[in-house]
Amino acid sequence: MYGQSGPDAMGSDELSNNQSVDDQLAELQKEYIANLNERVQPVVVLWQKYIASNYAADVLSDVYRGVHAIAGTSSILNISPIDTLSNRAQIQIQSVMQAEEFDAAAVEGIGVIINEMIRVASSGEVNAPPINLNG
Amino acid sequence: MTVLVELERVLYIEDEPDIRLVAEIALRQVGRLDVVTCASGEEGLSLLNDFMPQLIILDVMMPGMDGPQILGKLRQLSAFKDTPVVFITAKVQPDEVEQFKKLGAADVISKPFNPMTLADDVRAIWARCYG
Repeated sequence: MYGQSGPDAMGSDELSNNQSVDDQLAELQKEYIANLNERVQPVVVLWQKYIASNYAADVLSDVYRGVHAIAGTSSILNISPIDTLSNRAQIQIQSVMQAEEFDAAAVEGIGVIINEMIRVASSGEVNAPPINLNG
Repeated sequence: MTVLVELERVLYIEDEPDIRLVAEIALRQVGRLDVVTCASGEEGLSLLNDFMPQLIILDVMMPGMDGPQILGKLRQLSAFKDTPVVFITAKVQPDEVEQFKKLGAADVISKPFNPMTLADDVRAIWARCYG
């Protein structure tokens, strides 16, 4: 499926050639916000799996990967509330992954941030400024 | 500085569909480059001989083969052993940039990238490689 962009994203060929670049980016941003809850849910599922696994390190790596994906996309699309939370989650997860001993408080901290991510994502109140085209 | 060969064909391997779309807009529409994007290293490697990219952009963290692993595969292919590879990754630290360069990356672009300047950044890396 090269040159295409997955089932849950709008194909670039579908975007009108007449649209300006900023219009297209605004449309992508709008679509991402509209589906924010769906983007965050897989992380919640992985987090629950991590708890159920009795804190298996490999499952936490999957949680990190999921959060990292959200962080990357939300930062490029300027979705600041989710960008901020997902970055905080990444830092917290890294600290747990790198700790020599199990740190229950740090693990709980990850859960708090993920809960906040899902609260924000499902609130329907996420607004984002236009993507900064001037750097 | 004179660039002997103009950059035209870029392959971008990135697992996140929305980032691929932004990159397509940035490189194709803003940068007027011939761009192919794909979602995985396996897919990207299968396209090499048809598309013959002059430069390859790799997301670092991907499921399956990650960026450094794809770079390793590329360097085993005689036709692509010298093709400039640019890693793209979030909040990269200076020591990580050096580590990626030691692996053979031409350079590293950090996320979030600016859609309006991504093509210029890529061309600047190309010019450093072949200028």
